[in-house]
Amino acid sequence: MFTFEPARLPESTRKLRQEVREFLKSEQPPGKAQVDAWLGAFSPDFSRKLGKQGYIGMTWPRRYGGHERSELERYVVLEELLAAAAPVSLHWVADRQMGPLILRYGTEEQKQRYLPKMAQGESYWAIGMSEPGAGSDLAAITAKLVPDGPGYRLSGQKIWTSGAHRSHYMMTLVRSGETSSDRHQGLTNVIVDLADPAVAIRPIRILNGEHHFNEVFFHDVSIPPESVLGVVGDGWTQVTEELAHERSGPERFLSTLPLLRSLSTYARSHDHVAFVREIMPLISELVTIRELSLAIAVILSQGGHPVVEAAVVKDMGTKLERKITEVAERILPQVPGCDQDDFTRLVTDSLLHGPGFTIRGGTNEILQGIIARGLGTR
Amino acid sequence: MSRDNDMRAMIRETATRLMKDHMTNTLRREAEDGKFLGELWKLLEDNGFAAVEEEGLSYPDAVALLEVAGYWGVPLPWAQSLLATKILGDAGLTSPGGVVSLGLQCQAPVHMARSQEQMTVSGTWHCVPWARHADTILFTLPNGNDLWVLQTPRDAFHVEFHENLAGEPADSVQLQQASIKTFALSPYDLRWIQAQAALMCVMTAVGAIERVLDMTVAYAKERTQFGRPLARFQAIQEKLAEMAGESAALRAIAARTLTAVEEQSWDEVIKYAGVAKVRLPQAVWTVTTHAHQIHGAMGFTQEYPLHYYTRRLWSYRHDYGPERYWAQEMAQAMGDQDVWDFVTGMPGSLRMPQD
Repeated sequence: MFTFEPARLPESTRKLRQEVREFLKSEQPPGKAQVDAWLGAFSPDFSRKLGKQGYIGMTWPRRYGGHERSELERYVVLEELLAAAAPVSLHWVADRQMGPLILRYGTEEQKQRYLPKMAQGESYWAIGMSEPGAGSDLAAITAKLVPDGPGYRLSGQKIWTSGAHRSHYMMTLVRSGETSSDRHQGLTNVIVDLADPAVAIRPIRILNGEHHFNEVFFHDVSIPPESVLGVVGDGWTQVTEELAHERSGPERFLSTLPLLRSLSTYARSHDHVAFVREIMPLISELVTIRELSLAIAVILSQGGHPVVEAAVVKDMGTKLERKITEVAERILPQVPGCDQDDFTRLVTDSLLHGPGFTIRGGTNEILQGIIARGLGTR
Repeated sequence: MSRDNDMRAMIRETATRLMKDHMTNTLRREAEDGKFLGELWKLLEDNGFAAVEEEGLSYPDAVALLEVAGYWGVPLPWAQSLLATKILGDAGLTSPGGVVSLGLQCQAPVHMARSQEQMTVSGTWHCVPWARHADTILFTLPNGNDLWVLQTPRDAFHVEFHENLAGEPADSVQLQQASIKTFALSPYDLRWIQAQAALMCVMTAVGAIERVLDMTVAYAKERTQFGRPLARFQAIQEKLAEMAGESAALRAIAARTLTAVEEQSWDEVIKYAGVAKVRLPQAVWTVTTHAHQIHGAMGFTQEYPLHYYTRRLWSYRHDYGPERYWAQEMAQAMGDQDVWDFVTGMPGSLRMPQD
C-alpha cells in the first residue's frame, strides 16, 4: 500500500551531526536527562542560541530568516537535540509546523512579519485545535469568528494547549462559517496574539502536577484581517497538511530515548539476557521507525502529503515510547517513585508522562482510522 | 541511480507479469504435494531471473526481486539460487546452471581432506531448502579460520526429506567421503552470508505480507455480516490499520538494508539485516494473526489460499537465524556503544548526566 524510497542520509550530514553534538557539548544548559524534554524543558537563552547557530527554520528561504538547508539536514539536527533531551519546547511548534504553515499559506506580509523571529528562536507558538467538545472529533469545534468592522471578532475557547502560557502566538482553528452538512467547510486558521488582554490563559496540570497545557479563553478578541491565514474557509485543508508535519517527526518516537539509553546501559552490565532478548527488539523497533520517519521527511520535502504514512509513524512511534517504559519497569531493580538514581527517575517520569504519548497530536484510534481509510475501508 | 531504479522497476514488472500469467494455486498445491515446478523454474531461467551473473541480474536487483517471489508465494528455491550464484561468482567458480541451493548449517563433526584438485568431505547439513530437487548445492565449510565453499553436484550428496511450516523441502543433506572438485575459499565470512540470507528472507516476507494485507482488505470489503461489510466495523479497521503499519515498517527497514547492499557497505548490511530480522517476528505475528482472525474459518482451510502466505511467513521467522540469534548479533555489534551512537552509526553523542 505504501510506496516510498528509503531516505539515505547524505555523507554531509555526518559532519553536521558532529557539529550539533559539539554545539550541544558547549551550549546545552547543565541538567539531568529527562523524558519528554521537547514538550517540557525550556530555555529562552538556548532557543536563541539555536537560532543563531542556524538550527531553527533550517529549510526556509533565506529571505525569511531561514537557511535553505535540506529536510534531511534538519532531521539530523532535530534528532540530535531530542537525543540529548535539549530544552527546545519554546520554539518547537513554531519550527515544526507553524513556520511551514505560514510559509505555504501565509501572505507575503505574514511571512516577513513572523518567520524571521521564529528562525531567531525568539517567537514561540502554540497550537489551538482542541476544544472541550472537540477532541478527536476536531471538526466539531465551535470557537467562533464573526465579521466585525474591517476585521473579525473571536469568541469561545481552546483546551489542552501545550505551552500557551509561554507562547507569543497561537495558530487557532475557528469556525468562520455556518455549520453545514460538510463540517470541514467553514473553518479558518487565525493567528491570535496571546498578549491580548481579551485572551485568558489558565493552567491545567497533568496528573503529576506539572504544568504543560492550558485552557485558553477568547473574550471577543479582535482579529485584524491580516491575522487570517490564507483564505477564510480553508482551515481544514491547512490543518490536515500541518498534521503530517506534526505526526511524522522524530519526537514521536524519541520522547523516552533518555530512558532507553539508561535502561540499555543498566541491562548490559546487570542483566545480559534482558539486554539481548528485550532491549535489542526495542532498538530494532527504534531503527525501523526512524527509517519510516526519514522516508516521510523526504516525501514532505518533495511537496507530498504523506498523511497516512505520518499516521503510521505516530501510531507505532508512540507505542514504542510506552513499550520502552514497560520493559524498563520489568528490569528496574528499584521501586519507581523512590528515585535514588537517574534510571529510576526516568522510569517514574516516563510512566507518569506515558498516557499523553498516545493521545497528543491525534489519538492512536484516530490515527488507525486514518490508516484504515487509506486502505479504502470507508 | 535513477537509471538503476528504472531498470529495477522493469525487472519487477516483468517478473510480476510472469507470475500473474503462470503462478496459480493449483501449482502451489502441486508443489506442496511434492512436484517440482520445473516449467516455472525454466521461465525464471529464460528471463535471467534465476541467477546473479556479471552480465545479467545484478545482486541488488536480485534481492529486490524477492519481494515479487514473496508476493506470489513462489514454491521454488529462488532466493537460495540467487544468493548461491552470487557467492559462487565472487569466489571465481563458474555458475553451474540449473537449480542451486544453499547449505549453511553444518553440524560437527565435518571431516575434510584437501589436495590441489579435490576435497574429500563427510558431514551433515540441516535445513537445506529444496535439496531433493537441487542439481547443485553450495555448502559452506568452516575449517580453522577459513571458510570454504563447495560446489557439490547432485550425485555427491545424500538427502533426507524434511519440510518447513509451509510444506517446502527443508532437507538434511549428508556427504559421505564425497570427492568435490569445485571448491574455493569463500570470498565472504559466514556472518556476511548469514546476513545476506536473512535479508533475502526479510525481502520475501515483505512481499508475502503485502499479499496477505491485500487479500485481507479485499475479503473484509466483500464479506458481509450484520448487513454490512466487515471493513465497516471499527474493530476490523483497527486490525487492518495495524497490519498496514507492520507492512510499512518491515518494508522501510528492508529498503534501508537494500540501500546498504547497493553501496556495498557490508558492515551496514550486517547491522541492518540483523535489525530487520529482529523486527520481522512482530510484523509476521501481527499480520498473520489479524489476517486469519478477519478471514474467520474460511482462512483456516486448505482450500482457501491464505495459508500459502501465512505459513511461509511463520517459516521466515525461523529461517536463517531466529530473533534470538540476530538479537545476539545485534548486541555484539553494539558492544559498549550507547544506544543513540549505535542507531546513528556515529560515536560521541551527548549524554546528560547519569549515575
